[in-house]
Amino acid sequence: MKVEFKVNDRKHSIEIEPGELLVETLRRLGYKSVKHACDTASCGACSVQLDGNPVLSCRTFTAAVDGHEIKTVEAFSKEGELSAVQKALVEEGAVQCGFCIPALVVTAEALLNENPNPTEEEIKTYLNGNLCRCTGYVSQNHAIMKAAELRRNSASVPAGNQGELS
Amino acid sequence: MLKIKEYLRPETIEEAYEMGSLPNSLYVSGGLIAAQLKISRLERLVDLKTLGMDEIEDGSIVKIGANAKLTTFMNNPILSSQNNGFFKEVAKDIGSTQIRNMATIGGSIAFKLGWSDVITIFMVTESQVEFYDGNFHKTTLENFIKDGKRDQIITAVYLPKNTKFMAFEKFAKSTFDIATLNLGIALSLENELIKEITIVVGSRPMISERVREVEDFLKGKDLLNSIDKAANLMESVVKVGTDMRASAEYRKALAGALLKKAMRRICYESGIQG
Repeated sequence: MKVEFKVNDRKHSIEIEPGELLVETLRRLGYKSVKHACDTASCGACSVQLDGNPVLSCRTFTAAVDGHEIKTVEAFSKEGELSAVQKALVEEGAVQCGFCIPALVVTAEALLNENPNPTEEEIKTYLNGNLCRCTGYVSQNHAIMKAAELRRNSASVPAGNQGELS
Repeated sequence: MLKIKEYLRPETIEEAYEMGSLPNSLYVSGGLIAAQLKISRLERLVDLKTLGMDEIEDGSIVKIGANAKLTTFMNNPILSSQNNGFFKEVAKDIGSTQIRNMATIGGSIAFKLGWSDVITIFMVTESQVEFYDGNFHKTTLENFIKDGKRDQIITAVYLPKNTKFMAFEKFAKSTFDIATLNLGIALSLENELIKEITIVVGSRPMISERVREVEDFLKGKDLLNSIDKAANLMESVVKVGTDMRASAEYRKALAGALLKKAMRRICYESGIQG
């Protein structure tokens, strides 16, 4: 069957199997940041944004995203410039093996879009579906707090002066 | 990948039911359960999301469209303000953010699975289910669950508005793991005495069920001073089983402990001092 959808603002019109899962389709299209991991809806490493909301691509049928928009981690850096979330994760030492990080970024970006000023508790609640076996989460939570502050400050600065923050 | 022949997107409820009535068909809404099925004879999925049915409408009873996501349910302002914010708080304990963005209210009920937190929550609120099986019907969730049929399409859940105190407790091995046992309680008070009460235990591992012996025991009793006796009674009458998560004996002890916790929470919320 044929479906059309956007990934990171790029339109795809492709043939898929009726029972194909989104993680399989995205990896076939070259979006290898989307991990095929636990396959039990437990680890969150396959998370992508579907119309702005984090979902598990290992439990989403590709046929169901016909006409919708997907975002993977590649959507959040512009011309090699990392997003505030990505920068903060690096600066806080929150990236070790890196396997879970693309999905973590996707989920954290959605959180900050919904809630620009989250508490540490709200971060923990929102991200409890993104498992990480390296960092122990403390540095990740600090990084997201830091990114939230950076984004708020950046939003409050007049457009012409935003370069000073980057 | 599921080895199926067709993924169908009906435009009307009648069309969906016709498609779903074909042999080896399965309805899909959020997709979480369907995507992990290993049924070799499955031939087609019928996607119910194309039917809309995802709104939450206010009224004397709140109508929740079957395709409303758990996130929509959690963040809905009508429900957030009802029963001391009970629904927002309990929804946070179901799954992860990603799962709540996918799972629908109807899909969480339709499979009639034993471990469903959603079924316990709606059963304790004495909600009604509207479904389609060639005709539209409305019945209590309790009756809907007892009827073993799985070929109906849930179209909405009707949540009564009231001022009852509610609590939901679950025990799970991690924050979003399937519950080893869950328990819901809803009650109204008159001069610190229990007037009306509903108690539901789920993930027993069998499907959620009301525990009427404990409800009857507690009617007319002083809430604070009945906690220990009610918990003991719960342990002796609750029907539980053994599976890989826990033994029946362990679940009995959990049922008593979770009832105590839920009753103490209501004492605190209602201002009854211990």
